[in-house]
Amino acid sequence: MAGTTSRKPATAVAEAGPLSVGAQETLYLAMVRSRVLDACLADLSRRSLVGLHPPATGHEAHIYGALAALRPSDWLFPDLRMSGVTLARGLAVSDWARMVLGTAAADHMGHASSGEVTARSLNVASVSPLMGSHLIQASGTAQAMKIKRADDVALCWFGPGAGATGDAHVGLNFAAVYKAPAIFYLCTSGDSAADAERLGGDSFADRGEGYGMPGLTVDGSDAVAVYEVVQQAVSRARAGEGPTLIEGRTPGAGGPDPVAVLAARLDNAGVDSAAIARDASTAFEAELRGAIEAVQGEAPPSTSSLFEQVFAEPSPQLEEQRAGLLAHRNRFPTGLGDLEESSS
Amino acid sequence: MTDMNIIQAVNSALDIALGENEDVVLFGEDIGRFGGVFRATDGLQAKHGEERVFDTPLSEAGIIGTAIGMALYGMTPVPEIQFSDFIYPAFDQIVNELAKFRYRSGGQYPCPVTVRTPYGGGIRGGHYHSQSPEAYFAHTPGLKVVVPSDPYTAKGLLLASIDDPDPVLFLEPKRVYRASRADVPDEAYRLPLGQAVVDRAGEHVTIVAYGAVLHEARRACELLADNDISAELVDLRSLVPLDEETLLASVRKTGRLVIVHEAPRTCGFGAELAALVAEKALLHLEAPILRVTGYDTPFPYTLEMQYLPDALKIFEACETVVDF
Repeated sequence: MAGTTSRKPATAVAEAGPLSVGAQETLYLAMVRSRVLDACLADLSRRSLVGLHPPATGHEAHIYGALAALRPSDWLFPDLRMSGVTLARGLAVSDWARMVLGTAAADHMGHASSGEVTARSLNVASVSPLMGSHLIQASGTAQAMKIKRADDVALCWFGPGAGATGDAHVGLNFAAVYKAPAIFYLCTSGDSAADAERLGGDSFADRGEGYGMPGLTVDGSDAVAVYEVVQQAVSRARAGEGPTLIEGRTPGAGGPDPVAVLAARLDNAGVDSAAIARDASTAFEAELRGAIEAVQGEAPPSTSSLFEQVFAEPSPQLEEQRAGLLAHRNRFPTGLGDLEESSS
Repeated sequence: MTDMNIIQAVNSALDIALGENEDVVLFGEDIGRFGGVFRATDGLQAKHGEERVFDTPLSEAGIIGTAIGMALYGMTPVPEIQFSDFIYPAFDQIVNELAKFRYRSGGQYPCPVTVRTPYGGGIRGGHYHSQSPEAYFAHTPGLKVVVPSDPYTAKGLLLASIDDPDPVLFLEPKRVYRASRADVPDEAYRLPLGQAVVDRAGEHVTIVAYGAVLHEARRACELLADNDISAELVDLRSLVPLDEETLLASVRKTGRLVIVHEAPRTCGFGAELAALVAEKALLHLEAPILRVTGYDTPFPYTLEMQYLPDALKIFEACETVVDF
């Protein structure tokens, strides 16, 4: 992953039309909001209010550049750092906050940890912290789209850790065998020495050729370049030509910042990016803080809900266990103190 | 009604499911063009098309991961794992993904996948074509585990499993795939999951079994009857969900329990059944609960008939608890 040149640079293969300045502004807004989201998550993490939820900082071009090339009916298989895609797809901030904080009204009922934001209605798959398994699932969803003549695509983001798994190989192979409309997007870590300890060879994208699919490399500091490469993969998938492997190279420490790179593009086009960023940050931060404060006042999941959605209908065994726990909690509502009180 | 073996009953169920629901798809290793190593999917690709009945690369994780991806999208996949011994490369996809998608998404993503797989020994298959892995999966929250024993239950339980909104591991008793024959309705019918049946009524001892060893237990009942012991035989049909009431009612009546399965003994499903009866019917017991199971060895080749539970071992265990 340490190479600085690519045999298949994105600029040489991009065929899609350029992203309009207006669309670039929308993309920029999403990336600015992503930074605000990261700051908010870091704050929540410091206060021990959220668990595992790694930041998207440095990955904004991978996430929002790719998203800009898709339509709402396309499916997303994100990884843990990408819960912001649900907001970009239209999830209400309060619903996002409910899932991150795990309240009773959370769409996943508080059953999943803070990075596992799931939105079935927005075609965002449930995130698995177990890396690699989702490449196969994305292939399966894409194959289903093909069987159902849906003309949609499934996009799967993954990191170098997932890229090292057997499931990554299997997912790429299955998608290639069935010519499934899938896009596999590797986000390198930005630390080429660390990546070299996970993935052999100079280019993960070159592996695409071995699977019988194009392997493209793109500069992960340039959201517009990411958009163009993903757009090309999308066109290919919609045309029934099958999957594409993309390697998005995340800039390392001291490298170009994806948000700044897009800001400079906009400034060159005569757009006041600083004003957009300032307004968007302030407004989104206020919205986010308001939603989190409101959601923090909401009830946590009930004891009873522990047993819900294991199956569509709880089994007799689950019902018995639920009744047992409720009776126990009823006898000892505050814990050990109740025992000491009753025995004194 | 048609006289069928289990393979033909499974094939009939799959044919009906494909005909009834266009979202049903079958896939696995050699199940399409070839029709499956046991012929369970024979003729289905020709009838229903290559997109709905297809062969996969040799990767069990790939088969189950694909099934999950399709189920998320709203389809009803019925993948086959060629032998249950080969299921372990898919263990992560089954345990951590398939069985947890509904729960971790709060019900947004049900995963109605029915994984068919032949299990069990007695076919000179050796270590890797003979194992009984049901306990690993019965221990997995979010997964149902169903085990038919004959053509009638195979067809009715398979159609119910495919209809079920949750993932089902459907373990087919391959030792009796062809040996077990019965008149089976040609039309569709469903047998409810989580409902055991009293296969044979008796007074002195309850034998509980499932799958291929049910046939050994039936023979044991006859041997016992010849020796004036009246045994009641319970066929569990599904391990998850478990029909506790049918089993407990039988034990309360007979006061004795012999549990039969061919999987290894330690932490086998029999241990769960024994604990259940100890918790809920202790004072009805006249004798210790005994287990007739496979041994805590890898599945053997030459000595497989000594490893497997048979009618004589079941007879001996029943005699022991009756004489206790």
